[in-house]
Amino acid sequence: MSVRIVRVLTRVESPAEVVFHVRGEEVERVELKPMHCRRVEHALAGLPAEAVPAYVSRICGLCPIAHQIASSHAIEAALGLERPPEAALAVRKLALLAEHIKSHTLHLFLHALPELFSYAYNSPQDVFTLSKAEREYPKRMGALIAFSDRVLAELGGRGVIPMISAAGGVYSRLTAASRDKIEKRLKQAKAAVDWVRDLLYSRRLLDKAMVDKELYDLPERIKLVTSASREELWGEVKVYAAEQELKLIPAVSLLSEDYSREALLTGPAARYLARGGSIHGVMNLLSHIRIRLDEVKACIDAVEKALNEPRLYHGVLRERLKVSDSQEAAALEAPRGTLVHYYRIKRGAIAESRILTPTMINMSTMIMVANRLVELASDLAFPRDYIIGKTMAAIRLFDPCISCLYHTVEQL
Amino acid sequence: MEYGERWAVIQLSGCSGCPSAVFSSPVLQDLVYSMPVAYFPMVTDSQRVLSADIAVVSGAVCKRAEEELLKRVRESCSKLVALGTCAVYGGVVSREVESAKAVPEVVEVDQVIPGCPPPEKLVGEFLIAEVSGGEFRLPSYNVCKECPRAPLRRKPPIRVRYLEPPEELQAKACFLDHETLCLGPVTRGGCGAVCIELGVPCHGCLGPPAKSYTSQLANFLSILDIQLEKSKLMQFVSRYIRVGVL
Repeated sequence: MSVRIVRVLTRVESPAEVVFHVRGEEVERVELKPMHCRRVEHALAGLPAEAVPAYVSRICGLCPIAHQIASSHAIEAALGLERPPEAALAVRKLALLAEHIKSHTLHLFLHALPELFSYAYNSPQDVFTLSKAEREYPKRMGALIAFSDRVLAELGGRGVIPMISAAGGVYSRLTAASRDKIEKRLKQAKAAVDWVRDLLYSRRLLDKAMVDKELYDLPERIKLVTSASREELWGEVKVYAAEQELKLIPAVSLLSEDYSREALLTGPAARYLARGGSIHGVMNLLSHIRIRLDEVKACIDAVEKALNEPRLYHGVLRERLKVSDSQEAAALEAPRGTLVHYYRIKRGAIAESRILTPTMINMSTMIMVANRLVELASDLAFPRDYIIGKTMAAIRLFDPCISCLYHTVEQL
Repeated sequence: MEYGERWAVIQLSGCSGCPSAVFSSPVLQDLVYSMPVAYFPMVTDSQRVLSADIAVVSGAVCKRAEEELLKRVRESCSKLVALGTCAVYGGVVSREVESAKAVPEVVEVDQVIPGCPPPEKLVGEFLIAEVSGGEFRLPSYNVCKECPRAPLRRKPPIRVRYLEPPEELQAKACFLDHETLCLGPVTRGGCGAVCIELGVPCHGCLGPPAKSYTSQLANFLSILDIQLEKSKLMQFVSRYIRVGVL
């Protein structure tokens, strides 16, 4: 007889339940069950269009800027603003870069690196145990967060859920004094990236985890999702604009098509492939750690470069939008992947909305990876608790943004 | 150095912004790493809430399982703190899920720290008070005390026609002097008026300085000559707090 073992999926951004169907010592299959409940689209109905960006930034406290910008672009397009002010585009781009740094930093230090250290130390690790065992650990994490939070706070008043993008533009521009404060933190942020790189390669943390490499493989047939194929929708906010179409699914088509049975992949690994990276570089979840770290480095460099953009410091911040009945969608690259916001607006208020988050796109593939892992590990006669632990590790290495998954819990 | 009190950090339905905020400040980080953690599933592998000295709860209660968890937490922890506006007042989650409850509607709480997100300054002051044995008190003043704009000049009844500031608004004038609704007068301070600094009127995310928001709000609205659709007005004033519930 099969029994259910329920575990809380820990070390992700909102807990979920993982249900393991077990027969004897063999784990037969895995399900993910929600523990929380949100109905964001329900609450958006009737809300004035201009109130949407601030509201949707409460979908996820870890990627609020992506939600703010995607909703702003969709509403601007629906209400006839073809191109937001140049200063607004520059501010949004800078803020999104900072959010990528912060989100990846949290993923690396809270979720992924403890997984690698558990192989090196041969015991489970988390940010608290590592802050004691590795004295530099909290300091380096703090340096990266302080850098990204400084950018966000200078633009939007605070590091957590800052007020940056509005329908029609942005609230604030950068000043010379702000730039100085950000630049002061650059050196330490870059040093923190080098420190993590040193962990991965010189201290061979990645190599040590390779003992379980095959457990973390992706399905062989993967379809990529990036927002690159609808570049016109995200204007200048093209952090990782793809130079070539590589089996890309138009992001907006995801709103209407049945995509749930496909093995889709969005996020850093999909962007890496879309930029021309090797398929062999993404087919294992352990390699995604390196790709995330490379994105952090690229984003820090891009922030440094963007600080010299004159558009950040001058010009109109926000255009007034005209009230009209229309609908439009916008897509951009959030840290965890393609994010799509769609709105139908009637007399200035939201009549209908649909938000597709990266974790929703990744969900079916995450479950495939988890089920493939338990099948393989059971065949290899791994102990049951080991299989359970590694299944949860695979999910958190893939995409831990369960908060974004919860925004409309009926869609799980 | 490690402090003696064991902490539990519990997430209910919400955006995860409140618990992640503790990693957003070097000052908070130093404190957080020095505390023994009994339960913090966002960053540790803890499966069950064991006994703890202080439980910090964020998010609103939407599901029966969340309510049961919260009751267990109350029983097993000496002190319970509701962190963030969803936990304290229901917040944005209570707009989405009609049956959602704030934490104080389910169990007794010892301390609330509202805000969406809770201001770093308040969270820092609370943590310092906890580790040093000091006393933490929420500000009892309103947002107007921290507001960078000029004080209100108009006398009641104050006409209100806008929810978004008009283009001709003077940079340093009170929103209410320009017929724009701002909930600063009936909202607890402590946030540094960050939104107002950016040109956005206060939406009241820190809740009322006193207990009865509904009566305070009713008094405030009674001195206004409101020329807005009622539905739009209600949406504005109940963005973070269900009017009439608390």
